[in-house]
Parts: sequence; C-alpha cells; structure tokens
Amino acid sequence: MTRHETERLWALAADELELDDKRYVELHLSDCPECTDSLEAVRIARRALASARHAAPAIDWVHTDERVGALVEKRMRSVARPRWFPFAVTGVLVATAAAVTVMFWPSQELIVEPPPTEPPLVQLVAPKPIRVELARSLTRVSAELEPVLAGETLKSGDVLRTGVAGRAFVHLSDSSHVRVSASTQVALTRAEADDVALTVTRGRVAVRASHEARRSFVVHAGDVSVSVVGTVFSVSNGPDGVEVAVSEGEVRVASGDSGQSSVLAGQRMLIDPRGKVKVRTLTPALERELSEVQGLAEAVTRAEQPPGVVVAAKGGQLAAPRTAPGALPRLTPEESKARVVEPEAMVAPVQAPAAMAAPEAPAFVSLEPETQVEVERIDGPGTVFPSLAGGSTRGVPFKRDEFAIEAPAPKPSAMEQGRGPESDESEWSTLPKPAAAVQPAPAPAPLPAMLIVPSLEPMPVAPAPQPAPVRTGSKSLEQLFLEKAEASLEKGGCDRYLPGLEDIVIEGQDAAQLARVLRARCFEVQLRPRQAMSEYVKYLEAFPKGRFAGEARAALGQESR
Amino acid sequence: MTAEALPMPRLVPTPPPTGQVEARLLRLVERIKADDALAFEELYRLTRDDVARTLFHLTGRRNDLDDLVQETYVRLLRAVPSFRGESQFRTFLYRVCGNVALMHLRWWRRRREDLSDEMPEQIFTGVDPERAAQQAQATKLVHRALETLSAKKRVVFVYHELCGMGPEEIAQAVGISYNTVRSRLHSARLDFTKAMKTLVQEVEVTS
Repeated sequence: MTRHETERLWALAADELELDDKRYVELHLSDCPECTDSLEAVRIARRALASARHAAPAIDWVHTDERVGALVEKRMRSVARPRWFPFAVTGVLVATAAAVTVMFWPSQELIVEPPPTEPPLVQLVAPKPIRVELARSLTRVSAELEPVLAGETLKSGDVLRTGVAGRAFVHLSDSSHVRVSASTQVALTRAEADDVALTVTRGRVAVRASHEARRSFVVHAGDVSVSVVGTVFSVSNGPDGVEVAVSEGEVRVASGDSGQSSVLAGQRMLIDPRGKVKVRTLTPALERELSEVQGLAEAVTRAEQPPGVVVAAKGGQLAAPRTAPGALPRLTPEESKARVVEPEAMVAPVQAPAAMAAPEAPAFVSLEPETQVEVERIDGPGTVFPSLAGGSTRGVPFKRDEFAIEAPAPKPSAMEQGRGPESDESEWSTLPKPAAAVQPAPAPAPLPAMLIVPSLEPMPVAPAPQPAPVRTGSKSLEQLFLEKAEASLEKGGCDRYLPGLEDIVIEGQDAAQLARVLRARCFEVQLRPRQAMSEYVKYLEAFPKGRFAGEARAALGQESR
Repeated sequence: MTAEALPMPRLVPTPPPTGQVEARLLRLVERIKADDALAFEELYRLTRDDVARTLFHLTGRRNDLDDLVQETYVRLLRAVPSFRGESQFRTFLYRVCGNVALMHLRWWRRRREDLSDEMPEQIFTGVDPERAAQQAQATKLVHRALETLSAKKRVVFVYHELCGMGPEEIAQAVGISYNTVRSRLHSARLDFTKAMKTLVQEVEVTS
C-alpha cells in the first residue's frame, strides 16, 4: 500500500473525506484486503489518540504555582524598576562633552556662574504610606505567604489575601479606604497618591474613594473594570460573576462583553460569567459593609486632622476630650442625638496646673467633638442594631468583631506627665455610662480619637495606652451583649444578635456556651427548628458536659443526663 | 484503483475562535501589557492545564514537566508585549509551548538516555479506575509511538491530533507554510500508524 493511500485511509477514519471521495475509498477497500488491514491499524491508532487526548499529567500544582508566581513577581518588579543605566550613560557623555568644551574654549575668560536656583514651585511632600489599619488573618502573597499585621505599611504591587475568617482595612496613599472581606485576594496593582488600580481576584472589597484629584481609580475584577470618581462602593468577584454595589456617588463599569454602563447610588450590578448584566437594589448586608467603610474613612480622616491648641485660661477649666471609646464612627450626629449624652454633661472640671495658665503652656491636643454612645439605650428603632462596641448601627447587625482604629495618640505633654497617676487607663477601659448615671469624668485624660472595637488590636503607631477590654461597670461588653440578646428573646428581635453571638462562639470565650445556646433559643423563638437543632448539636459537640447540656439534649430528644 | 485515481484528502479546517474565552484572554493580555501581575496570574490559572497537557504530549516521557510549565510561562511573560493580536492568543500560547518543547526534545535526544521509565503519572478525571488504567496504557503507547517521530513532525502531529488545532493555526503557531504542515502531518500519520501497529503487536505478544 502506498503512502498516499495510507493518508486517505486516515482521512477516511477521521471523516475528513467528502462524500464522493469517501465512496471511492470504500470501493477500493472492498477490493483490497491489505488496505482493510491498514484501515484497522489506523483506527486503532486513532482510538489510542482519542484516549490519550484527555490525559493530564500529574503535576504538583501548588509547588508550580508558587514558582511561577514568584518568577512573575520578580519579572514585574524588574520591569517596574526605573532603568537608570541609559540615563546615566547619557549623563556621563554630556558631562564629558561639557568638560571638553570648557577646556578648549578659545579666549574669553570663563565665568562660570552657578545656575540660578529657583525656588521649588511645589513643596515636595512625602507620599502617604499605604497603611494596614486592621488585619485579621491577612497575608501578603509572594513566593511565600507572609502574615501582615495592623500598622504595617504596604507598597504598590502587593497582593493581599484574607483567610476564611479574615478581614482587613487598608488606608491607601490617596486617602481612600479599602475594606477587604473574608476569603478575598486583592492586588494593589497601582496604589500611588494620584493613580490607584486594585485587582480583585476573588472575594469582595468595599472602597471609600477619596475626592482627591488623581488620574484614575480603577478596580478590576475579572473582565470588569470599575472606574471611580469619588464614592463608596464595593466590588466582588466570585464564581457567579462580578458584583458592583454603590451606596454613594456613581461608578462606571466597563465589561468587555457588555460595554460601559453606570451604577448609581443604591444600586448593585451583577455581571455573570457569560457577561449577562442585571441591576438590582442594594441588599442590607451590602449597605452595612458600605456604611462600615464609610464610617471608618470618616473617623480616620477626623483622627488624622492636625491637632489644634487649647490653652486653658488661668484658673480655668479644661474640657475633657469628648471622644471616648465606644463612639461609633458610622453614626451621624443626627443618629446620635437620640442616645447621646450632651457634651456639656461630660465636661470634667479640672484644675489646670500652674504651667498651663501661661500662654506658652504645652500644647494640648484638641479633638473633634464626638458623640457619646449610651450603652443602656442599645435598643434603638427597628433599623438600629446593637453592636458589642456599645453603639448601634443601621441595616443589619454588625458583627461582634468590628474593629477599632486608633489614631496616633498624642504624645504625653509636660502637662500630662505632671498629672501623673490621674491620667490612668480608666477612661480607656470604661464605656460611657448611661445618661441617667452620667458623672463627670474623674480626670481629663487626653484621649486619642478612637473608633470602637472590643477585640481590637492596637496599632503600634504610637505609644498609646493599651485599650483594656471594654467594660461597663463590673460587666464585660460580652456579658452586656449576652444579657441584651437574652432579653431580646422575650422582647423579640433576637435575630439581630445572631451574628454577634456567633462571633462570641467562634472566639471561644467563656461566654461561648451561653452564646451558642442563645442562638439555639433564638431560632426556636423564630420557629426555625432545623437551625435550632443544629445549634444544640454544635453545643453538645463543643461542650458535652456544659451548663446547658441538659437543655440541649432535651431539645434534641435525647435523654438528659 | 490506483493512488492517482483517489482524491486527495482535505484537512480539518481551523476551528472557529473560542469566543468568550479568547476575548477574555485578549483582555488579560492588554492588562499584562500594562504590567498587571494579577492579570498574568489569572491568565496562568486559565491556561495552565492546557499548557501542561500540550507539553506532556509534545515532550512525552518527561518527569520535569513542572519545569517546562514554568519555562513556558516565563517565556510567555517576556513575549506577551510582542503579541499584536494578529492571531488567536491560543495560537500564540501554543507557539511558546512548541518552542519550549522543541528545545527540550533536542536537548534530551542529544543526551541519548533511555527515558522509558520516566513516564509520569497521569490523571483521568471522571472515569472509573479500569477505564482510567486503559487510558493510561493507551497514552503510554501513544507517547512511545510519538517517540519515533522527528521533533518537527511530532509538534505538527500533536497539535493536530491531540490539541485539535487546524492546519492554518498550526502554520501560524509553528511558523511554516500550510503545505509544509500538510506534508509533515501526513508523514507523521504514516510513521505513527506504523509505530502503533508494531507496539500493539508487541503488547499482544507479551500478554
């Protein structure tokens, strides 16, 4: 059989022949047993190829991914590094040429005047660092995963990843704020003061973009690019596609498949993997996330304002700082009025030291007037939910692990140092008391502007006093929260406490037992038996001999021991 | 019937562009050109299985496939700025794969080592173990038969028969003419069929 005939047999087996050609070859095969055998060999070969086509080699992808990732990062860094060599060579050549010219200049006397120094038109200011405000289970992705702690600075190009229970807040160079949700990977592709590009590989980020002038602020997620002017929005990238939600302002969404469109405040746009676009209204959970990042941004902005100078008159009184732990950043003044202790009530009479009477008295940090949140009025209107931090919020309940951002504490002045033990940590550790029981603060300790958080990790940016666990009287915040949650079983509305209770359970504190049982009871009250049973089962798994084991077994129909 | 009387077979035309996947790849390429490392990572995730499979077929019995995958992506990263979008990105990617594979094939053949024991483990997802074993055996035979082909013929044959590329696309990926692709492919088919026939007979005798 000739080579050409083998080709045709292969074409016949591959169904590559036209109908007439096919008839020719089949006619030939009927008269040629040798060709029939060859055709069979071709078919065997093709069957083997079909089997091999889907064979995938076993590769250690984890190892390979890391190696490729590291190489790519290295390569990208080298690309981004300024290429100084050509400029240096050019500079040397120019300098040499200038020197030669000077040496061989004909006759005139050379008067080399120094070039007039022009005053710089713009005062150079060091760009703000990209700072991590809060880091929980946050890592930087490079050749290896490096844990990132609160207070660390980041750089453009860093890739951040949060764990399943992680979260992070990042303050960008352009004064924008980014909240990184759990199970998220986001790259600070460009994070300059005038140009920001974030890339969300997976998960969700909520952004409060500042209004500072810049070239662009873009968030990439898959095929979607979200351009921002100055707004509050979030972008998530998941298996169901990309979701862009806006609570303030407007963003432009460019998708390769659906062109460019705008998302307005109160809207969320869903772009599924096939490029299909849907526009919906914001969900309460998204509203909560966005209000959180907005509140955080406002609080940090306030905290970063340059301190003023307050000089007490001779023999006068110095108002106590009005910011106290427990102030929720997200509360607007209007929202706070209902449950705010009048600032005047908080003024603490303090005898100013003699040194303060003089005009050159040491500067004292003046903080912005802040609202004082009252824990006892924790039950707000229907849309206001309690938080463990002692405040409340709108929308859906805040989780217990809301964090606090502390502004750099003012350096202890001579005045403060002279005050000695009066400036103890009591104000750091005590929540404001209920309105009815408000007493003047015992001593006016200069408090830094502080956003809330019970389980906070203080930033190492300043030698601020370590915030002790927030307590109200003799009760810890967890206890207060649990009491409120328990009371809500009768009053109704216990579902608002469920996330906070879950957080207490997750953190495995002493109150975890009660928190788990309260969740179960709440589900029972809400006629959700399946969830209640699940909570009881989890309780028994964690605390088989716990205080509420009998109740749990009874609820599950098991014999109580 | 003589050979001259038989019609010449046509080759399977280039498959149509892969639509959204290709468009997505092209968008990623634009971002990579703007030094977006994350875009490259995404591109890597999208294409790594295909690249690994192609390299596996092109090089056959190699245990250093992860090195080849790494080498391919390093070259791809260097080459992406020169991609002008005149062909499909998949073609461009296969070209990089082919260059890496050819380099390694030549290097291995210079060493003239017996590579018969270097068949890497294979994965067949979604099939029962018996069928997976049959497929592994078939893959082993195919790769042994591919060893009989020259490197150039092997690249064309693998691209067409195992990667599903059409002759025009192969011509672009390898940088040769359409007729050369036809010639190499037909020659490779002949050699491959012969080799497979021999190997199957060996297996039958052994069993």
